[in-house]
Amino acid sequence: MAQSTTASTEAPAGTSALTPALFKRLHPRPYLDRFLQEGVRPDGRPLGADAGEAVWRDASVNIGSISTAPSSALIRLGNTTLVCGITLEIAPPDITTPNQGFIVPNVDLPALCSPLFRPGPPSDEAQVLSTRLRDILIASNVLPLASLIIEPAKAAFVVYLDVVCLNFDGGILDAAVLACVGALKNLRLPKATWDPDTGATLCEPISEKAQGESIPLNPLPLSVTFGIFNGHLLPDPTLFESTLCTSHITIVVSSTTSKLLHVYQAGAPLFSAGADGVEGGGREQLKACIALARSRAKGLLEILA
Amino acid sequence: MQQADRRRFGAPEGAVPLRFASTSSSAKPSSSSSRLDGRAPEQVRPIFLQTGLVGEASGSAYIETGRTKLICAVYGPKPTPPSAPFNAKARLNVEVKFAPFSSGVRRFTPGKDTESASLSATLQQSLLPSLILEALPKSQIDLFLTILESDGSDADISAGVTAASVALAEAGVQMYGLVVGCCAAFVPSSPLPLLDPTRAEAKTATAFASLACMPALGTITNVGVSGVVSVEQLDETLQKVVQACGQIHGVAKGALEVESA
Repeated sequence: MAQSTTASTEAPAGTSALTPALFKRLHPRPYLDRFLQEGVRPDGRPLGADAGEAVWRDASVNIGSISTAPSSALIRLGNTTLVCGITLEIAPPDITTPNQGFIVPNVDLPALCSPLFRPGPPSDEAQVLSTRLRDILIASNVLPLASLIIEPAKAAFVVYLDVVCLNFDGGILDAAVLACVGALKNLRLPKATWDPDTGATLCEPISEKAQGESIPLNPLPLSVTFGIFNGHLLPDPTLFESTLCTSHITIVVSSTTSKLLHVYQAGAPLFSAGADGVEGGGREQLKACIALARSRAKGLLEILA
Repeated sequence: MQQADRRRFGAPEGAVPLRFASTSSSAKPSSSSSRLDGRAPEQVRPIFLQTGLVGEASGSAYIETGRTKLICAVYGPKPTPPSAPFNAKARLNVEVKFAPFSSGVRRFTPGKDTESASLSATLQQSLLPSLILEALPKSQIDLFLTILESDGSDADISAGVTAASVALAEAGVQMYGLVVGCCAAFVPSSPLPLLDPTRAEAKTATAFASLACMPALGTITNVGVSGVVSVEQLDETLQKVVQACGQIHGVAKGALEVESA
């Protein structure tokens, strides 16, 4: 009796339509785990520190695709796609900092880019991303605010960096930083003069003759994110991976100097010692991440050039 | 006056758009053609249309005609929330958004601005007659459209209708036919109306006509005419616009065939 029941339950279970897509949907954690046990990630990237450049997703940059913006950059990081467009305005500098202009970065995650977002005001996630992006851009001082001054205490440029996500598949902060840097690199400020009589600023339209002034940037910040899942270090996680990861590490390195610009770790870096070629405790592991981030930053800098 | 928005980083106090010194416009129509970019009056701009850019969406389309660039994504059909009243037909929700950098001066209003609301209404009206929504009771279809670069609002609507219909088709929503849009501007400098005008051309126009139709069925789903125009001229123009829509329909069909191949 018992045997017959097992036999009858086994047969349909064996032939049930548990397709890979269904398995992924119903049991995301074991699904990812099975992949990682085989030393490969769901999108085919290899696992491990010695895999070289293959652990990252393909990144590409298209500069200046939006002609209504003074400068713009379209970034693709794997499937993640976003556009950063710059708009310029003129405002009187803040009274406490008469020699500084403004940069105003905003990240928009519209309902278009993913079913996770609803139409309406920016979600918490978008607000957090905007804040972190602003922190990175201001703290790294990539665009010296003093270079935006037209007339001290009277007029300065406001550089709005609006990042619009078109396809949301993880690594948004990395892509947003890359997009902002790409757009800033390409930005040319029109020649502007402040008229003391009218108190207004008049600009010269950018044309073949008047090319405008490009701003010398400080060393560029380049952001790299890692996820940690079940003792494995996953560089540049996709959305599916990053929702399962227990901790995240974001490292922003400077393009030319060896300085770190921003390190953010959510959760403890608990990948198992010895796995993926990384030995030692948390400190060593973080150092390994920084080394990986440096090598990735070199690659990112090449595609920006 | 804009209301304060605490969820974004706002503009510093007293920020104004750039003011440019007026220079003589160097853009003049070439001698052989009445149009700024050298097109014939009834010639539409080349269209690039690609589907499937938004991975998680049921259907999506990116369209680029000249400088107009927009992206459209469809989510659904999906069940309406339990709180919604019973509806025998599926609801089509349309939301049009402008990227802040889409039109030269910074476009930024918390919530909806009136232009995108009217665009949404026009878009919805153009698409509704093509969809078999009776087949989907108690469900909704969300359609989102983001304008990345705008080149005149009429061109935006036309390109938007085409992209939206292709995205709906990719999402597998039952429909009678693909809807495509085209528009025309009447300018004093040209005896013939200009099809698919750019922003610079639209600036001098005295009247606009925009039309959405299903060329496969020969049905017009939406017509809008604004400005002063004679009946004969309008009739003639709309026929030309319908002809142009036939060409655009070929592009839209091609994009879907590439996707399914």
